[in-house]
Amino acid sequence: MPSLLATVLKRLGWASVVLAGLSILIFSLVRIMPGDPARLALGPTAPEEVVERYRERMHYNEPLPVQYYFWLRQVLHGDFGMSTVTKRGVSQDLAEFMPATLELVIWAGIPPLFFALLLGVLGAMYKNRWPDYVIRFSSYIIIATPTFVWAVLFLLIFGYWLPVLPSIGGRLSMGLAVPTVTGLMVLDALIAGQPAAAWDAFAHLLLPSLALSLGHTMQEARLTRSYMLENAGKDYITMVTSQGVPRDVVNRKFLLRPSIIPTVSIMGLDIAAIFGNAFLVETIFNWPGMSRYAMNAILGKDINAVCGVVMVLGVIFIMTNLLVDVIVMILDPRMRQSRSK
Amino acid sequence: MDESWKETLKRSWLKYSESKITVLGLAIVAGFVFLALFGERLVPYPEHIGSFVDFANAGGAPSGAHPFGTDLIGRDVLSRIVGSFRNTLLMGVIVLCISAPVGFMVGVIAGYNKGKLIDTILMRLTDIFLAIPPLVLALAIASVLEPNMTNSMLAITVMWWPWYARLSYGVASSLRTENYIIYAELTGVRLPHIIFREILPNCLSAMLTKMTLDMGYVIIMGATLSYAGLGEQAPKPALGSMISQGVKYMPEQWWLTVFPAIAIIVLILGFNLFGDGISNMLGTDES
Amino acid sequence: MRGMGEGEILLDIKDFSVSFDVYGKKSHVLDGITFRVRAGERVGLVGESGCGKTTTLKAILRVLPKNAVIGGGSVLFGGRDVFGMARPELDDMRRRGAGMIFQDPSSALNPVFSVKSQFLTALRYANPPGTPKERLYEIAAEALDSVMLPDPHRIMDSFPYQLSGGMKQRVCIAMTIAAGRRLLLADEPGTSLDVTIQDQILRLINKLVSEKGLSVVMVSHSVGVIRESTNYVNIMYAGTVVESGATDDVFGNPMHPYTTALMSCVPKLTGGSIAQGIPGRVPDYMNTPAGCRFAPRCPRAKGACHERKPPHAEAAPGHYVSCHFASEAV
Repeated sequence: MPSLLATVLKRLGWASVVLAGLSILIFSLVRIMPGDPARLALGPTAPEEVVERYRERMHYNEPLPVQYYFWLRQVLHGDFGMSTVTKRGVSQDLAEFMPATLELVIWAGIPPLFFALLLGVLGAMYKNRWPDYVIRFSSYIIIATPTFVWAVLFLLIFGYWLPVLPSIGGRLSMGLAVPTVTGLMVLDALIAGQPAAAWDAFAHLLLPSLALSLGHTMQEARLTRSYMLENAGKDYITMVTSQGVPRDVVNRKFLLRPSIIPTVSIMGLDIAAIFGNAFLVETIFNWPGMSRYAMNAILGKDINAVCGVVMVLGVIFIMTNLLVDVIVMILDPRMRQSRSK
Repeated sequence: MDESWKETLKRSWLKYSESKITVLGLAIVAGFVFLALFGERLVPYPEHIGSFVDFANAGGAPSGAHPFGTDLIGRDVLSRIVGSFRNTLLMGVIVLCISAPVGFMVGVIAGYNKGKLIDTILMRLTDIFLAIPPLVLALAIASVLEPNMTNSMLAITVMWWPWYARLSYGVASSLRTENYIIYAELTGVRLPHIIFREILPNCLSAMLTKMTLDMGYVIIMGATLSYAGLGEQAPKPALGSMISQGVKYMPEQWWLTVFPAIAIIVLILGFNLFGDGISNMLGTDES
Repeated sequence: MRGMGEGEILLDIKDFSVSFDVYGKKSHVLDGITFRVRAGERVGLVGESGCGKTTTLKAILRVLPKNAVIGGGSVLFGGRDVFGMARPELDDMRRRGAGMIFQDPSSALNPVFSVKSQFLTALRYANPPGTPKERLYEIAAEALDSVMLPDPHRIMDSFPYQLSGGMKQRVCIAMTIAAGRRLLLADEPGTSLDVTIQDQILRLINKLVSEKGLSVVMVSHSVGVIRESTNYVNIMYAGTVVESGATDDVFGNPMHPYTTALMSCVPKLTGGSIAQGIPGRVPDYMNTPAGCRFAPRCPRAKGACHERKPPHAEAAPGHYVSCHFASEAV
């Protein structure tokens, strides 16, 4: 598929443009924050000469474009500078906190998609019969519930009233330890040959990832259902039916694929929303991910850390979208042509 | 004329009420609007909406006098929930009424000049805004600014307009080559006329549908920022901040979280159903 | 006796009615359609857009939309009632009996599957079980060749978006004739395409029909097309057959006022201009006239027309008209 490769390369080039724009946006946003970054970094008691020297060293006295140049040069070397809150390298902090967030987002993003497709297909198959009504009715309520409300309700119900699942205890129960390979706890436990630890890590993931995914799952299910029903009336389905292809073959082969494409193609946006919501869900479940770090950075006006977090999220988001696009291109040949936009 | 207007209204209602559940949505929305307008006068303890303290009744469980219980300083939770509706609804309306026209203008200008430099600049800018997880952008903006309701609305508006830009871009770039637009250009009609008289009517129903469908999401986003402490500040009530305060006192004082949570769910449910109804009525797909 | 030829009766539609459930109301689209197709015959259905032509074709293959309700009458294919057929019999009719060519080839091919994938799946069920895949591929390639598509192998590997409208329509025709079906149901073939392409498609269908001795039901809103390519015609108005007979008889001596009006619209007979050609519009199917459905637009309508439905009566040998005043028209 040479056209597929060409499209991917083109997208990668485009992604770098977006990232450059994003970096400018974030950089200017952070620099217009009120307050003197050098003073904030060194604290109120530092002598003025030291602060001035720091300003000099960090190029804070130069015009903004020059500051941006120095900052970008650093970033391209993987160095986001020092965090004024943790007094460590931002990259080091990100490497420590990011895997926990990533694991949460992966569990909240990918397995639920399959449930969503299943529910959507069921809803369409049993249109206006009880399974459809149950799915539709529950989807209205589930979609209307904000993610942080799910998290709070889960904490109340499963954390306090019916404490059957771990709710506020990080990623693993006390006394368990798993050597870090990928940073994804369940995977690492399996690699280390500790199924019990893997199960424990999964149990810890369950409530926060469920809180993150419920709304999206039902939304994706609704979308799948409505496309299944819409496409079922299309000529290309009538055509194969009228030629005597059995109904289950028509549904399984010719109806399913075009109907799931729109759902799959919004996955990139869903993942972005899950990342955003993860900030709150992590706080509620005391999940040792990026959120506390980022929140502290935001509240403490820790410029380097804020830039680092947003840039890394931007990169992850763009990569996710690229991956989603590739999957869509595999499912839908029309997308393989390089689009003009 | 009068007759046909009635006819249109009747048909619109038939289409809107095609699915009975959207009628429920309309009822919920109407109820919330009513409470937002007059709720402050109807609640049992109007003074509890502000900075009122009554330690004698602090942390009381739901009872006859306080059906939803009282908070840590003795304020009636029911009154505070109802008292938060006005700002919650205002937030949705204001955010959408700013981001939709801004997005429309950006999209129309880019789409109308498709292929030119201005198109590239505007739409790439739009893409950049869309490249940041929305809540993260809103959190970053809201944190740079003073935490209050106005700034949280600003933060949400900044992340919301690109969607409208995309929508009107699609319409404008496809209409650009239509004969009636070309004809208008040839006869020397000025650009504002083309934009507002020729292009706007063609995206109006899609924009209105999107706006009603977005109401619930904007309210969710506002509540989320408020939960993070970046929205309406104390002593004024906001559903998000009420829940985040209540979380600290779970599970004993569960009513501090559960009732505001239910209020949010019902509110958003109402707007989502209402949006579905409007989209049925105006005949555009919800996607 | 109706129909001209003496061949075996392939398709026999008798007093067939269909309505659609729309928002809980009934839309009476087909009202007592009657016509026959004998082996080797070319039958035309002509009328304005929205008069129920496509619904008639879909009914023959029992692929009506889900909200369709059969109001009465029957559709017999090879003497068997299509709506009474058991699954295997219905499958057999669809696979080897009759096949439909859709109006818009772009919507008739699945956009996300290759031509090969769609073609071979259809052929797999139309051929004896266990037919090797290579054989199916050969049949498909031959069919593509017979509809005069160059380089069948490349076409097989293509996706619909890579083909032009005319090519897609040819692919659809190839899929319909490949399995040896005896009756083609052509729904305004090529109307959505360029006029020259449309002409080529019509010629192709006519050629295939005469070469393979197929029967065809040709649907069109164009009197010209029907005149050229059929030997028997049914004029449809608002879900009823208003006039039928040998093509030359009907157009040479039109007896129904609607036929006359339709012919006076030639040559600019397209969906848009016909409304100008004949005053008024096709009636609201939710609220059909009690008498003749054409009465509200008919220049000669009298009291009886608004009260009673005219019978489809033989006004001249082999020439049937549904009009209370058919004789006056002559």
